[in-house]
Parts: sequence; C-alpha cells; structure tokens
Amino acid sequence: MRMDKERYRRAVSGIRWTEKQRAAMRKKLKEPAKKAADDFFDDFDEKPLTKEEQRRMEEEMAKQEKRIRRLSKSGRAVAAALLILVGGGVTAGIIHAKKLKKQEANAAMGVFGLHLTDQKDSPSRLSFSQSEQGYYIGYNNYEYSMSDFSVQTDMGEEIQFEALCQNQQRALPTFYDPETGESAVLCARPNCTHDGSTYCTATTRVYGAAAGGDIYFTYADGYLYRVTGKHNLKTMDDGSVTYDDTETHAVLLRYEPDGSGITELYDFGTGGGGSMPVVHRGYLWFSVQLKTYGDIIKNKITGSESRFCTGGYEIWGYELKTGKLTKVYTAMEAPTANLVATAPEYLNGIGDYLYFDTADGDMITPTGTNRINLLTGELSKAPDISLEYGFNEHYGLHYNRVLQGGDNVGCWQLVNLDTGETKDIPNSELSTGYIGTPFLSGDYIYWFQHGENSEDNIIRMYDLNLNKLLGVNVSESGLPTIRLKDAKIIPDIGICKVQDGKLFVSYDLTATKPEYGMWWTVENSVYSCNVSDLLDGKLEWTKVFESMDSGEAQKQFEKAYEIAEKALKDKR
Amino acid sequence: MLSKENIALYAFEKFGDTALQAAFCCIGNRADAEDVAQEVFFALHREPRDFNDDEHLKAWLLRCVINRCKNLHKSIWRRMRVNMEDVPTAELTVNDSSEKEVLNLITSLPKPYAEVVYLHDYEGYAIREIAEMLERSENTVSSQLRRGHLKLRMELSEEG
Repeated sequence: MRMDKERYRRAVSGIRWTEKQRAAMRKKLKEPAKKAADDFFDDFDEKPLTKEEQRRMEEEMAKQEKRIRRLSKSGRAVAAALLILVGGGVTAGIIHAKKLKKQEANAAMGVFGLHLTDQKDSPSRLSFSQSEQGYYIGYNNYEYSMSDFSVQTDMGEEIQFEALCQNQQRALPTFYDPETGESAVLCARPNCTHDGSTYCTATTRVYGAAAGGDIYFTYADGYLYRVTGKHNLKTMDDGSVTYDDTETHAVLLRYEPDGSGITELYDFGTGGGGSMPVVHRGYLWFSVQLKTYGDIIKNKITGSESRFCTGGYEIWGYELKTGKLTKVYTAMEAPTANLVATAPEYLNGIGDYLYFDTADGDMITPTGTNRINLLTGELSKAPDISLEYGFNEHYGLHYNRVLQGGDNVGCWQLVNLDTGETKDIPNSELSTGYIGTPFLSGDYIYWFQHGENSEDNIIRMYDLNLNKLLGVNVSESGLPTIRLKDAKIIPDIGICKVQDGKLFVSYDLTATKPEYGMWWTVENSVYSCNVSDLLDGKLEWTKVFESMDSGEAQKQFEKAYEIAEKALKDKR
Repeated sequence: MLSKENIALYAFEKFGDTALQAAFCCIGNRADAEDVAQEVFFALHREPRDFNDDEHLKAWLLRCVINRCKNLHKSIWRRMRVNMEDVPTAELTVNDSSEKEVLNLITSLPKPYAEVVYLHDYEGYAIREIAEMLERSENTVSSQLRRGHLKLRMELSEEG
C-alpha cells in the first residue's frame, strides 16, 4: 500500500463529530458561557451527582486541603477556598479566593520581609548563564539513525537507498572556558556517553529527562540552580525506564559548577517542574507548577478517561545568602482534566518589581502582565497590555518595556509599561522572509529574519523609538559559512543573551540537498559581538562555543550524499 | 471584520470538524481529540473575540487546538489513550479497512511531524505559513514534513 496526499485526506476527512455530539455542542454553545471549571466537568445530560461521584469529589478536596496546609511552611493559613461547584452535573472546582486581596493583605502584614540587594541580572528565556570562569550553555546534540531516503532519476523513476539520518535532539548542558576555548558536558560521571541513561548526571532522568528538550541552568554565587521535575523511575517489563506524572515532584536543585554534587534544596510537592530561575536583588526567582491527581473520571459524552487534577503556579524567591525560601505569589486555578494554570513561566526582575505573565486556565488566553512590588508585596497589573495571541507570543520584557505580538498577528508592538504607550513596528518590515523572534534587551531590539534564500537572511537592530540602526544580510555579516559538495547551506541565527555589552547569538548552518530529502544541521555554534561595534556597523564575531558533533555532522552528511550519488549512478 | 453574536457557535458550525480532525491528527486518539476540540470552542464561548474573516478564525482555532494538544502531550493523559481498535467503527465513520490502517499510521506519527503533515497535506498551508503558525523555522518545518512523509511511507510499505 502506498500513502499519498489523497489517501491521507480521505482518511482524515472521515473524522467528524457524530450527530449526537453535534447537537450537544450546539446546545452548550447556545447557553450562556460558564466558567472553565464548569465546562469540562459539566455533564451534558444534566444528571445530579451520584453518591460515588460526590464521595470522590470530597476525597479530592480533602487531599488538596492537606497539600495546601503542608506547603504553608510558615504556618499562615493559605486562603484558598475549596468550593464544590454543582451546576447541573459532575462539576467540581477549586477556586483560589481573591488572589489580589490576599496579596495586598500579606503585604500589609509585612510577610515579605525580603532582604533585597543590588544584585542584578539580565534575564533571558534561553539557557545561557555566565560565571566568573566561563559560560554555561544548554544546547541540542543530534542523534543519528539509519533511515530510508528516496530520490528520482531523470526519468522520474524513484529509487530507494538507506543512509544515516540526523534524528532526534538531546539537550546537553555544557561549560565553555573562553580562555582555553575548551568545552565540556556538565556531567560528574567518568566515561559517560551522556546518552540519557540513569548513569549520566547531565541528562539525568531522575531530575527531568533532558532528552529532546531544553535544560535551564542559572549560575549564581558559585553554584548552578535548576527547577525541574523529580521523577519516580520505574522499570517496565520490557526493561525500558519510565515514570508516572502523578508521582513527579517539582524541586529546586543546586549543582556544583562542574555538574556534580546535586543537592535537592526543596521539594514543592507533586508537580510538573517550573521556570528557568532568574537572579535579581540577591534572590533566585522561579515559578513552580503544582499538581495533585485524583481518580479517573469518564467523560459521558466522549467516553474518554480523564483525571481530576488540581493545582496551580507559585512564584518563590530563594535568598542566595541564607537559603531562605519565600513564596510571593500563588495562582491556584480551577481544575481541568489535564493541566493547571495560570502561567507565570517567564519571570523578569526589574528594579523593585518582579514581572510575570499569566494566562487563562486554558494556558492560551492571556490575562496580562503582572508585577509584584518586592518591597511592599503589592501585586498589580502592569499597564493595560492586551496580548491577543497568548503568552507564547510574549517575547521580550526588559526594563520598562515589553515587546509583544507575533507574525500571525501581523505586527509587533513595543509597550511602555509605565505609560501604556504602544509603538508598532512597521508592517513593511514584515513583508519578506520568515520573521524570526525579535529580542528586546536593554535599549535595543535585535531581530533576525531568515529564509531559504540568501536575501531573506537579514540581521536587524532597532532602538526603542523603532528607528532601524542596522540591516545587514547574514552573508555580509562576517559570520562564517562553509561549502559542501553540491549542498545548499542555509544559515539560521537566534538570540541567546545580551550581557556585559556583548550580543551572544546561536548560529546554525543547515546543509540541504532537497532532491535527496536531506536536511542536516552541520554547524551548531554560539558567537558574540560587541553591541557598540554593531552600532558602528562593525560586525566582528568571536566564536564562543561549537557543538561537539559539528564536524561529525558534516562527515555524516557527506557520507549520506555519497550513498545517494552511488545509488543514482548504479541505477543509470 | 467577522463579528458574530455567537462566534463560538458560528465557529463550531463552520470549523467544528476541522478542529476535531486537527486535534485527532496531533493527539492520536479520538477521545482526547474530542476533549481538546470541545475545550477550544468553549474557550471561545467564554471569551468571544472578533476575527478578520473565516481564514483568520480558522487559523486561530487550529493554533489553539495545536497548543492544547501540546499541553496534553505533556500530561499523564497521553498514557491513557484509547486505541483505535477500542473505538466503535461507527464513530470513526471509516468506510474501509485500508483507511483505518492509514488512520492508525497517522496517529502513530511523532507529534511534531503529525502537526506539520496535517497542516500541509490536509489544510493546504504553505511551509512558510506553517512555520509562522507553529513558531518554527521554515527549515525545521520542511525537515519535519519530509520526515513525516518518509515515516508514513516507510510504515505503510512495511505493512503493505
């Protein structure tokens, strides 16, 4: 059997709502909208709770209450109200009672008592942390496996051949010493291949499986910090190792700078990990996502099974000098089947404030940017910012500015958090190529536009009045390129961080031979350039880091190319 | 400007099946797909918004569906997926066994490939549009599309 677009389309088009489901949906959508909690657990047949369902709900709430008490270390009662919402069916929810008022009350009681210092850091969403000795960089190393390729002869005949294929990525945290130019994976085990086994401490599965994902370390005062999930590993019958989300805990970890000596500083309870910690005013700030799982519930309309899940996000401060932990924000949300929200995932410390975004319970609908005054504990909305497409689109927050928008919104805006004034980046700048993610740092916006054609690869730089300061094609930027036999090389630039007057960028080169179906990242490196030089139009780059497998990737690409050529030649 | 009194109902009538199909292709089983799709329409019902036109509405719905599928992928519920064999055939409205076979292959595609293949092969979006929608580079999308196609082809040839 051969798959083609038509067969695919025919199969997918058979997926439709049944008439019964359609009628139920229409009915629900004609009714006034309810809260998120009501939606999921509402029973379409509007039957009352059974005794068993009622018992389960009560058990869940008792568990939740216990958890909240346990987390309230200082003994203060957390004013989380547990409500059973019985609105025509199996409806249950936990609603955090009057978050804002509670925060205000906490501030009045002086519960914050933070000892803020002058320590500042320019936070970044990407893993790139600097110590006195060098840089800590998280990067993705590729793995390879045999795969089938196909190529057409001049006569249109398709021939198959087998070659190594660049496959999944594995995140590795590394240290780079700029003086010696050497880099090493942050692993404490000798002779480790960092293959994601339990032996490796760099890709440890116990503390957040790093394979295929990002890994975020933050360096502060001689240690590396990380917030992640601690898994309870289980060996399955087939020998594979897995874990159960319901038993995963959110933890704050401290590593020695060589990746050894992992200390679990605090276990926040059942949860899914947290944000990348940022350093600000003598504290490490981070959010943790907490979850408590209950019994399985069956959706009576769809027949799908889900599980009662409660929880939310909390923001904590870890005082680097004393190790004291302080919770500064709690966002307990109504339960949904599979996630808990809101989402203060990206934190930014600016002056006396800690900024963070929140989203609705659906994790998509943004509810704005908030800030906590670290001196008073006052929680307030940042000036009215409407994020049309969700917090995923919220790319930059620095000093008193936020950069928001998205390619699909059609524009980008720079918002002054103090005044609410907005400025649009002209649409004319959006008209060509793929618009990479703009990055706001300090007084400048950096923006890399890239595409398949060389004229689409442009480095741009703006000031906060959105005046263009720089617009140069990557091929003329001084960044190196390579030549491979008959392969097209596509550059891709991403922002890492602006620190100490230097712009750090990730720089990838993809080698492609589309007619053989080959797309390989053959260069995966980090470069830096002085911001002042960029402003003067001097593009002088220093290589900071190169992926361990860059040379190997080139070799393997060339090998696969040779195999393809041979297959074609043999056919002819 | 598309501004309806009940935009969620309008969206469901117009793109109800589209949302379900997208969710199915991304999440891999019917039950979760229904949950994801219904949540998106309820979210729009709670927070109605205006759209430029039907295309804008459709793109928004697809984006929401894909985002929710991503969240679901991270969760425990992925391990409770309902196998295709467990779903009554009537609900799938699949007419022949080869289509069911194709559906099984589609649902076994790794998530990033599944999203891209669906948007490209079924919805007809260009690579550039998909890159914007999923916030990936065009290179990545092209690569994922190619590998998704390769995987589908490989699996089918193994079975066929």
